[in-house]
Amino acid sequence: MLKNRLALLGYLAIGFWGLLAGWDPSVLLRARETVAERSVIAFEDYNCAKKEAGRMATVAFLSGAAGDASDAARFEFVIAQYVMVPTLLRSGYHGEEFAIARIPEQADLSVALQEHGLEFARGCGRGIYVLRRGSSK
Amino acid sequence: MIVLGMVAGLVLAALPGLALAAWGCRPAGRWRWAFALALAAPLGLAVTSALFFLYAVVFSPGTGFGYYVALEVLVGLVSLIVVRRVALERGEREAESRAASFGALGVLGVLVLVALVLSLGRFASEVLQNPDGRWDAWIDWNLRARFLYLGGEQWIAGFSPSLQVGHTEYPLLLPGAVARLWFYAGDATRLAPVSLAFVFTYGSIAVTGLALASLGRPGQGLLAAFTLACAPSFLEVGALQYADVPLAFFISSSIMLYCLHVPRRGADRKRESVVLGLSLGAAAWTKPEGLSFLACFLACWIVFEGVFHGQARRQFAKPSLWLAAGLLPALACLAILQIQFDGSNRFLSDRQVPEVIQKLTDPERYLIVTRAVLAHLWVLGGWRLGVIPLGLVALSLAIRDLGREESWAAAGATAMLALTALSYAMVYVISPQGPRNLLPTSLGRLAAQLYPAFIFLVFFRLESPLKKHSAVRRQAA
Repeated sequence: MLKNRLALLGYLAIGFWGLLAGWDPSVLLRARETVAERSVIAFEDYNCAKKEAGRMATVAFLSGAAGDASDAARFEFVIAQYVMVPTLLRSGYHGEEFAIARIPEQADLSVALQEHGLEFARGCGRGIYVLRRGSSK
Repeated sequence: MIVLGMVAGLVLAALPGLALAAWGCRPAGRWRWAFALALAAPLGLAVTSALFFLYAVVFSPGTGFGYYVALEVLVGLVSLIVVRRVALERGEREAESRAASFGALGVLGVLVLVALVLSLGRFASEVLQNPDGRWDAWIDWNLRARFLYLGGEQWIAGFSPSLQVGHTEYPLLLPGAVARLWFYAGDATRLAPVSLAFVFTYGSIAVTGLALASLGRPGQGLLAAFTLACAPSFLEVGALQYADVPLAFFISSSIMLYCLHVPRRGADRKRESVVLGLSLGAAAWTKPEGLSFLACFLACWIVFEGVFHGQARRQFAKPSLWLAAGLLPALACLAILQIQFDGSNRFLSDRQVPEVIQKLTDPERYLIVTRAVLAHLWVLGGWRLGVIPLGLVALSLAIRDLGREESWAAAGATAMLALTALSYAMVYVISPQGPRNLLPTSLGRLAAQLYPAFIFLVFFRLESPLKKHSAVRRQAA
């Protein structure tokens, strides 16, 4: 019986140990700050974006497009309108450069971006671009 | 308004789930009712997600959404009537447990409660650090939810091969549930995927503990809930908004319903079979691995229920037909996805037979997978010291002497889980990217899919941790 209870106590202790180890509860106290910092939206090449993003807090996603031109044209609109821009604007980051996007090679997004006050800052290859808040809006 | 809308969406999902769970479990005792409650929200989310998908296919999302809400309100009202009728029935008595002086069980209960509160803190930390989840959540689940919510008539663009970076062939339980909540909230709020992550993660913990309690094992139920609540990697996969934890919920609930269901051989099992079928269908409607689990489950169902078990063979056909009836809605949704939107699995459909055979006969691939799986056992669930604590507590508690039907259920459920794990391993073996590339990014998530069911089976087979005080009622055949 004692052996049984000791094993049980050991099990509970190891469980609590695993649960608490590596957990930083201060994150909970800085909730708002943390969410703003970590508003990371998906994009294709994580490592490249991380490298490029450097200090930038917000990373955005724009799908790569293959397939025929009509598909690409459709996605120019659909993705810019429905996926990328809302998530960018929602992220609430106000730095000068704030996004990296993977952009379909066929797509010309400049108009859609301009409408939302965004513009290209520079490209970093493989369809990945750094965007910044433009002056038109 | 956003939060109110979301709560309304969750309640309207939970009501049919509760009605189905209560109808299927015939609860008579408090634990069985609690088990039905734990099943309610996830099961209801699966049902309403399928309903929302059919509505999207027929009308396109957003069109006449008021009528869709009216339909769900009607379903909710009917569900309340069903729940009331079930409450008035004399349901199946749950296994008794004289266990447990409340004192010993109470102390264990308090410790489990502390673990749950701490795990909530850890879960919340993960959510705050990853408010949009991670890769799979972005590219597969929430991205397609966005198409459903914002796409209007163009929502099917979410299935275009142009979105080649994600898996456009994946089923839509999670995207459908997220988009449905966004419609109720009137905003693509992050709260929707986060609240679903919470429901499925803590639903898995609750359902595992309560299934054991309703089988007359409250002490084991508490320890199983503790094990899951203290599993950082399980919490992490849940908080990151992946579909692996929702799938884990449906895999484990199917295994549990099977273990609750089998000892009732000879009785009318129509209701139990239908709800089991719904749970299996929900697994298949969550992720392709759910289809794998479904195939393994059905193979074992045929073997254990139809071939080996002489007594049950005569009664095999009827429950199987009801099981198929429960599966039907999910299979219909999958068929529509496949036919209408070309939801073929790229991973499997593009493969050449000679290429697969060449990979199947390559011993190095087996070696790589075996090594990785064995190594993963040391970090299973993110527990310190891996499986050692579980092994030690299992040794100290001793194997429970099960009745004939319970032994049969345990053997069947173990075979289902083992076969599913084997099917996952074989996918690594034949993967075109090679197991070395695939294993590091996916093994932890696949383990999370099977983890609650595995923990359930471990504690199903063990004696109560409070054995001295317990007198276990064996369910002899």
